[in-house]
Amino acid sequence: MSNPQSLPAELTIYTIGALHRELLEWIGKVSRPRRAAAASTPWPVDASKVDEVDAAGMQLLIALSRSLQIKHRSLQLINPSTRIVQACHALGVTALLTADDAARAQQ
Amino acid sequence: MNNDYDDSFVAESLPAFVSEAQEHIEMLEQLLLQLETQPDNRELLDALFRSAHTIKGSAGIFGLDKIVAFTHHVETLLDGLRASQQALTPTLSTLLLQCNDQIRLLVNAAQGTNTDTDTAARTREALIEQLRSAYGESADTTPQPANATSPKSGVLLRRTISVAFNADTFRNGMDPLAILNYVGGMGSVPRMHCDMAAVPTLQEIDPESCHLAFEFMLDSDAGGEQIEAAFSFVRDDCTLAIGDALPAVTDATFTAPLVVASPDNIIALPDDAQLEVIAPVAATSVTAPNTQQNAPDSARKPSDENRFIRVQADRLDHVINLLGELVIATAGASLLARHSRSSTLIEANQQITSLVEEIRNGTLQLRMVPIGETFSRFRRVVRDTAAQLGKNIVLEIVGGETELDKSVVEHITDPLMHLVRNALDHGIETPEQRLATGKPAQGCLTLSARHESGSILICISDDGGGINRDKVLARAWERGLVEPGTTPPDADILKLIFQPGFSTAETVTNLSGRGVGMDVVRRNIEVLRGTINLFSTQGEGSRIEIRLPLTLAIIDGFLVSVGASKFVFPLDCVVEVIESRATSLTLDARGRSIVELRNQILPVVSLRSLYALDSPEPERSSIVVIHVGEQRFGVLVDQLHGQHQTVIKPLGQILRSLRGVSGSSILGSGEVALIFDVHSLCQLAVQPLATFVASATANSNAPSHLQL
Repeated sequence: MSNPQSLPAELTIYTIGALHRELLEWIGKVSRPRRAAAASTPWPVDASKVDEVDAAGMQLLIALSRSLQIKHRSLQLINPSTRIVQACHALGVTALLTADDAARAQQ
Repeated sequence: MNNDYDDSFVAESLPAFVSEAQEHIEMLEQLLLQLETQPDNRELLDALFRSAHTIKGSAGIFGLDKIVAFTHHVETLLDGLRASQQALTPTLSTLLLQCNDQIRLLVNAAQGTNTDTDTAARTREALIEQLRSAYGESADTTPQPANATSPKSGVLLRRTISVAFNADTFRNGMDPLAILNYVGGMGSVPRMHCDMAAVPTLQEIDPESCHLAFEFMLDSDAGGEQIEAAFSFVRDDCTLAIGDALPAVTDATFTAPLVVASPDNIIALPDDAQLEVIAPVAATSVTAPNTQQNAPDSARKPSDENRFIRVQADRLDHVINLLGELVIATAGASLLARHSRSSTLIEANQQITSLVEEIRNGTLQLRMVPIGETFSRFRRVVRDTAAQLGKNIVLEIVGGETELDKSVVEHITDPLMHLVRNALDHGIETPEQRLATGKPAQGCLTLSARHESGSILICISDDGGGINRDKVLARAWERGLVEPGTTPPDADILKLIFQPGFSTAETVTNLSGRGVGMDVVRRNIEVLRGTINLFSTQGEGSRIEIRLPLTLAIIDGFLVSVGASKFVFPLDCVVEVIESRATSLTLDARGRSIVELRNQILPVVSLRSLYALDSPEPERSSIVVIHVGEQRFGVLVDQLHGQHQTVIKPLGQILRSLRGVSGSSILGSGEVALIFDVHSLCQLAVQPLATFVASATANSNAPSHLQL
């Protein structure tokens, strides 16, 4: 597996057009896991750089996670910035975070 | 420089501000009066606030600080009313009506109609004090949540809220994340669930379309309305359901637990599982577009604002004058066309004439306003006066949509005011008096209007005590208007009231009783070429009927001639025509006769005799049958000339008092035709018929009727 892709600093309505095209290229390269596993294999995406995020940006991530599911992968945001953690909580998509990150940010 | 520009802007635009502000002031008064019978009506309260807000805002643009400062306090109270922070009590209603009067004074002062006085300024300060204590109280108390089931504020309540954002949410510039953050800030969110399954995959999604839907719990001490208000920017872009408030308990005692999203759950293919788990929301569902937030203004203003154009009255008058000239010129051209005997020319002229007629009708319509606007102004008068006199009176308005010419409306308002005051003061009795005679304690005053044979008929009727004939007679004897001891017929007694200086009131009140009223009223109405009649039944009530012409400018007429003189009858009054019969009527001294028409007696007036016209009587004459209200009578003329568009020109000063003639017109040939006032003519023709018939049958000579 190559280095995890990382999300850009701005994940908003203004940037999702370009990001969508990039992600479509990514998803093409994602293969199903070699071994069928009971649970889906996490597909990490680095989210440390995300500085600005809005609902449109988050929606795109949700779309990405759905596409990954079909390939038995689950999107996992690693090293998430505070911003994106807040957004995940506000929109009820903490599933995209690791359990630790989700729990930690509850404070 | 800047100041000059500003000054000229103000000078030019101030009249527009004043006239709009006046409309809002009238609207405020009407709304307040409507609200007295339905103080909880949200739409009316909203409209009330908007009107005050608009006045304040516009006044601010023109730097009219006094108006801004005063209206601000009114606006604050109105804001509290519409947010249901307090109720509109009768006391507040009276206070607001008084404040509105002050705003009216200030607006008039701004345009120079009157100057603001110190007394007025002190009145305003007193009113501001009252306003302050009215809304100041509500500002101290914690705002009551609109939700009736919720307990007093400060207690945390839990609500289940579901919101689904429409596809255009992003395109309309909205961000659901920001909205949910804001809502979350109103308390705490123990559960938040996103319907991720509703979001398409990367390959299918249009990233700029919104597919987000959420369901969550909100623990907050905010009221249901406040929460709804948090979504106000996206109301048109989402489907929102806010559940009933329940006491917030620390843990899940909800009907269905929301799925705690975890990576494992996501595998279970999303189309079914997560959706089923979403708790059915026992909601006071508030689906978005256009329902309550954009409440249609019941006072009919917003849609009307798009449909009206403000026009200067004198420009309209100018167009109507030109139109009159056009009608006359067209008549002249038609006459020439007929002489030319060219059928194409005659036809062309006919086309022009009918087009001109259409323009005429359309243009005269422009000046028509519904009389309901005038009638509505009397609501306030009735309310205040009844209260002052300690009487219980309701005002009913019938036929408010009836239209009449704007200038007629302007002239009729004062006479109507006087008559209404009379009814309130003298007509309708106090509740005690009414109960004593077996009437309901509440008296009823009815203003009605309708069209009738080319006129508008306005009635003011009350169910009061009627006119006391004995009192009237006594006063008439006292003043020598009638031979003391004699009793004229009932109808004549009533007519005495219209004599100058007549009044039976024992005490002269501020309102009426000075005796300068009724004769002035009648004169004003006659100036408008109208008539006024009084009917009254003692103990039961009175009715005043005012008849006015629909328009002052151009009418459809019927042209006739006697000898060389031409006359016009308003076409609306002409029922039929008996053409060209051998003349053999016996006329009385005043030129009247009777005729039998389809087994009914028809009184007839001979124009020749009436106006002592010298020309020799022709062998054959025609009778034009005219109807006025219930009456019919005939007019004997030499020749009929048919329909004619008649432009009314007023009579010169000398001829103003001529009875039976209401104006003159210039024909296409340049001749002048006199236009009849059929009501006066009717009175002449019809009364007193009984005596005439008696004398005619007593006369054994020629049969006094013409068999037809």
